[in-house]
Amino acid sequence: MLRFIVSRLSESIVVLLIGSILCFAFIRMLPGSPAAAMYGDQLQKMSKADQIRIAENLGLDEPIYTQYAKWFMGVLQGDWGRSYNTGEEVKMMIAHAVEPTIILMLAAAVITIVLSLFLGVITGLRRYSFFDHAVTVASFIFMSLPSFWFALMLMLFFSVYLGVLPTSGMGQGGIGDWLKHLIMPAFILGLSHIGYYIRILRNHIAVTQEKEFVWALQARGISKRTILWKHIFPNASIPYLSFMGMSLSLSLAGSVVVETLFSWPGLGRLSLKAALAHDYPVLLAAILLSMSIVIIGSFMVDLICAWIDPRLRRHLLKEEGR
Amino acid sequence: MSEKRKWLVNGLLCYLLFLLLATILAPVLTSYDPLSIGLAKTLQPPSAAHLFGTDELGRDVLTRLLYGGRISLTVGAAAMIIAIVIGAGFGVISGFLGGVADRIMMRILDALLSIPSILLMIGIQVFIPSSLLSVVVIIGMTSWMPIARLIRTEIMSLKGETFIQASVVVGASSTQLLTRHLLPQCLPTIIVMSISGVSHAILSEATLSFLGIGIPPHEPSWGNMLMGAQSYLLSGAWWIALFPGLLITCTVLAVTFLGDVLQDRFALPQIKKGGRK
Repeated sequence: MLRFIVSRLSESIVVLLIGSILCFAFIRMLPGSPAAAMYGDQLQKMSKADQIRIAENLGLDEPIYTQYAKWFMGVLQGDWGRSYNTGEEVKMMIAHAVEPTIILMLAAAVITIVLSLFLGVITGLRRYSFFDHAVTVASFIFMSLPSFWFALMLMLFFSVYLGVLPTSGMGQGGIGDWLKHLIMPAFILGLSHIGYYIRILRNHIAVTQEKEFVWALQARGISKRTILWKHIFPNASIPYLSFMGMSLSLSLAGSVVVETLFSWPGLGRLSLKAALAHDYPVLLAAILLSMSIVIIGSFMVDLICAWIDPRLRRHLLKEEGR
Repeated sequence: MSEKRKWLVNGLLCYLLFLLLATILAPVLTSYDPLSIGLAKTLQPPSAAHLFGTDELGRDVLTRLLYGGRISLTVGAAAMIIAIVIGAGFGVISGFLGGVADRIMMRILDALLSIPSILLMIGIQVFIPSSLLSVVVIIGMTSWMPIARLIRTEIMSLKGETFIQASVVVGASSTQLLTRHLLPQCLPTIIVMSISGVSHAILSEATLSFLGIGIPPHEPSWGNMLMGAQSYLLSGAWWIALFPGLLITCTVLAVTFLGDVLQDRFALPQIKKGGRK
C-alpha cells in the first residue's frame, strides 16, 4: 500500500507541475506583455532604456525557466497578483468565493450520492423491471438536459409559478432563508450528472450479482442483505467511486453555470465574471485552484479504491512497470 | 437487437433525419426572417401566426429555432471531428510509442483533464475572437482527452495480440502496423466516441452561448436563444426558454440513445452489460 501511495502521489505532483506549466504558458501567451499589463499605455511613451529597465525589474530578461520557477514559488506562497479591474488582491477574492462553492458542492454531492445509491442499487437488483426502465429513461434524460435550461425551468415553476423559492443570492439572515436559497442550485448541480452515477452502479451491481462467488455465498445460506452489502456492493462501488473522482471536474464546471444563474457568490461565478471582463489574474487563480482541487480529489479517490480493492494497487503498479 | 430496440433506433434516426431536413429547408418552412427585428410584436405568446411565440426583439421563435439548428448541428459535427482527430492521434501515438513518451503524454492528458471544461474553454476563448469557427475549435480542443485515453488503452492491449506480433515478425513497418492493423481495430471505439462527441459538443455550444462566450449574439443558435431568456422568463415569457431547451434535450437524448445502442452492438468494454437476456 505504501508503495502505491508513493507512486500515485509522485504522479499527482507531476500532473500538478505540468498543469502549472500550462498555466504559465497561458499567462505568457496573453495579449500584451507583463510590462504592458502594469503600465498600460504609458509604456509606449517611455524611452527604450526605460522599457528595458522595467523588463529587467520584472525579471523578463532572465531565462524562461527561471521566470517560471519564480512565478511558481510566488503562487505557492499565495502571491497571486491583483485584479486588473478592482485592484483587489486575488488571494482575498478567491478566499471569499471558496466557501459558498464548497457549501454548494457539498450539498449537491449529498443529493447525488443519496439518490444514486438508492436508485442504482434497486435498479441493479431488479433489472428489466418497470421501475428499472423508468429510472433508465429518466437518467438518460438527465444526461441530455443542459443544466442551465433545467435551472430555468425549475425557476419558472418554483419561483415564477409557485413563487416559493428565491432565484438569486445566498439569502440574508436565518438558516431557513439560507436553505431556501440553497435548495434549487444544489438540486440542479446534484442532478446534472446523476444519470451516469445511476447507470454505473446499476450495471456493475447487475454484473457482480451473477458472478460465481455470489452463487457460492447463496449456496452457503448467507442472507441476501449480507451478500448485497458485504460482497456485491464493495465490488460495484469501485467504478462508482472512480467516476466520483472524475466528476469533481465536471461538477466544478457545472458550478460555473449554476452559480452564474443563481448569482451564488462562489468561485464559478467569479471566474466567469473575470473571463468576461478580461481579468486574467483572477481567471488564472480560479483555474489553478480548481485544477489542484481536482488532482487532489482524484488522488484521494484512488487511495480509497486501492484500500477497498487490493487487486487495484497491484494492477496499477504493474501497468506502470514499477 | 430485439424487435423493440429496432423500433427505438428507427424512431430516433427518423427524428434526427427530420430535424436535419427541417433545418436545411428552413427558408421553405417559414416565411419569417430569423434576424429581422419587429419591435411592434415583441414577447408575443404562441399563436397561429407565431407557433412558438416571439422573442424580446419580436423575432419568430420557431424560425430562429430552425435556423439556429443549422448552427448548433454544424458545431456539433465539426467540433466532434476535431476532437476525434486530435484525440485519436494523441492516443495512437502515446499507445504506440509506450515507455517514457507515453507516460509524459498521459500526465499532460491528466493535467488537461483536471481543469474543469468550462474554465478550459474560457481560457482558450481569450485568444480567439468569438465566431462560429472559434466555438467549433474551442469545443474540439477541449473535448478530445477522453477519446485519447480510450484509444491509447486500446492500442496498448492490441499491441500484445498475436496477430500484431506476427505482422512485426513478418516485417511490417510502423506505418503499416498503424494504418492496416491498429487503427481499423479501434474503429468501433472511434465511432461510438464520435457519436457521444456530437451530443457533448451540442451541449457545450449551448452552454457557452448561454454564458455569453459562444456564438456571437445576433446569430441564432439554440444556446444563443436561451441567453437572454432568464430575465424574460422571470416576467412570465416562458416560451422563449422552453422550446430551444426542449429541442436541445430531445436532440442530445436521441444522439445519446443511438450511441448507447451502438456501444451495445459493438460490445465495447467501457460499460459492460453482462448476464442473462
